[in-house]
Amino acid sequence: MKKWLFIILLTGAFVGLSFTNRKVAFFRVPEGWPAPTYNFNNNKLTREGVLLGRALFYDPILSADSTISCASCHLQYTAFTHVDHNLSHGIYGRIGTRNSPVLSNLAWSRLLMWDGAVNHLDVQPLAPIANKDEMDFSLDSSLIRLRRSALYPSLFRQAFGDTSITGERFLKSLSMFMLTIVSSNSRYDQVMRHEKGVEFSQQEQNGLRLFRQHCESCHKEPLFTTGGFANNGLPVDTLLRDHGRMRVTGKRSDSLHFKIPSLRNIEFSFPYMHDGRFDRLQQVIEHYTSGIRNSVVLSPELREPIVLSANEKVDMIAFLLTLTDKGFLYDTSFSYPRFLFMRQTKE
Amino acid sequence: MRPFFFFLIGLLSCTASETHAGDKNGLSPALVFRPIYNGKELSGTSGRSLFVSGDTFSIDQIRFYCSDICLLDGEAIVWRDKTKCHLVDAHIPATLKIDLSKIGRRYTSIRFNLGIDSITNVSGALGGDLDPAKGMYWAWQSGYINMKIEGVCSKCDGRKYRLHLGGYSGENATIQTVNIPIQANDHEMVIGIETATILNEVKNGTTCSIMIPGKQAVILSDLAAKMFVPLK
Repeated sequence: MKKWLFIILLTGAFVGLSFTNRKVAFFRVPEGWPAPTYNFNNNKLTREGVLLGRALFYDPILSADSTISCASCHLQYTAFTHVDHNLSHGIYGRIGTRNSPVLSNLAWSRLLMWDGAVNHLDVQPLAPIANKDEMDFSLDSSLIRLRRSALYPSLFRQAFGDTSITGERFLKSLSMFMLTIVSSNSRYDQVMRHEKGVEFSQQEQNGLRLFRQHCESCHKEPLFTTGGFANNGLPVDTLLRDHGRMRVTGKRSDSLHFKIPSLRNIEFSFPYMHDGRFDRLQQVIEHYTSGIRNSVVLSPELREPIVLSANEKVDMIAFLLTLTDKGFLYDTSFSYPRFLFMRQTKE
Repeated sequence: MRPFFFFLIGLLSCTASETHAGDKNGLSPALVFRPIYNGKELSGTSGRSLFVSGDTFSIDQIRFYCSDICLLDGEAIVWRDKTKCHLVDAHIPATLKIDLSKIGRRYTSIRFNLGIDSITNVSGALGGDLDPAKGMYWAWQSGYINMKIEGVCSKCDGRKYRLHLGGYSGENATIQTVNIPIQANDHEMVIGIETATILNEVKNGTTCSIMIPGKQAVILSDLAAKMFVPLK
């Protein structure tokens, strides 16, 4: 009897251990930040789940002709956006209608996409996968490919306990990876944490003061966005005719409202705005000081003109450059998982 | 031990005294959907179409979400389905019959939602019948498609009609509550889905394509709820 009890307990301990090994919650909320909006109880982060999501993020297997991955338009070195293209291009060289947004700090996101058409991080990947200008594929077809691949059944087993590849698991693992992409160690963050030996220059300090005076209402610290939508006075592009959030809500008051982007790593996330119309930060500042198109749907925060001297504009940009987080841009835990794909090639 | 034994006996006798005709013969009741078109039963087992009328009209697909099934005695809920929602597909006979657990109470009507509630719509990736891989989830704008009816109609552009009814937010909410009185507590509660109710809108060329939430989807969803009628 005692022998059997011992065996049962030992087996239970092994099962328990392997379960514990898989369930490693390592999401850390940076000091002084608000609570995340993402409900981690419904998708507990695990090392294996994050790794699976990372593999999927970098794998072109999710596009119709296996050439385009999520990372094609969201490159780590440029804050996970498509550098140097005003409008991002996808499959077969097709050009979309918007500039791919930066990806970071997604645990605090509410509505996604420039127009807020997507209501939850988990279901975000469905949009680019199905978009004919991006990946031109479907969730269903992606899952069929993953089930046939040499790599994924074992990655799903490691992440979820068995080799069943479902839409839910697929989407949740992508979320797991995207949730880990946190940028919270820029020089701005270090100054705010009063880290030893890190200080703003006088110019940067003045830039922060001006930022808080003119920009903070929409680009709220520490995330540098409220997560809301605004009409920032950009005239509509007559070719693209993109009216932003109005397409989703059907409300005229939402005309030309686009998601307020975070300004973190803005130094590397050019070109700027939903259609990438500005290549340089100077152009952005010029827009806010002298280019705003007034209309009944202009966001109220911008109704009063922003007046900045030439020096103040420089100071503002100096501050914005302190939001660069080099550790984030080069963090190898977010990068292409070469070791996984190399293993697959060898096999 | 003895008090527990008496408690168990008491519990069993209490359950037995409440057993109603609906559970007689030890069978659990079942909700059965029977898709029909102008009174004619549709069959999903033969060929691609559920119904064909020459080369001018066909019904190729009927899929919908049936959620939060409740049995009521008057106004009071006496039983609620533990399974949050069921995806019913006219091509898959097994999905047309939903087995309900033993009720043990009298009931006079059945109530369910046609579609998915707003909280579920904003809850991220879900599994089972709610897995977005089931093809009932919009990719370009988040939200479940509550009901899909597709087929051929010569009056429609491209001869195809596609009614994808969905939308969960504010005035675009399309979820419908269906109430069906139960005459006798039979083992099977058979509910007809009279597709002509909605397809007359297609056949007269009024509506051939709905692929987004909005006013049209709301109007058609209201009509879709009226498709459900008691058959016996």
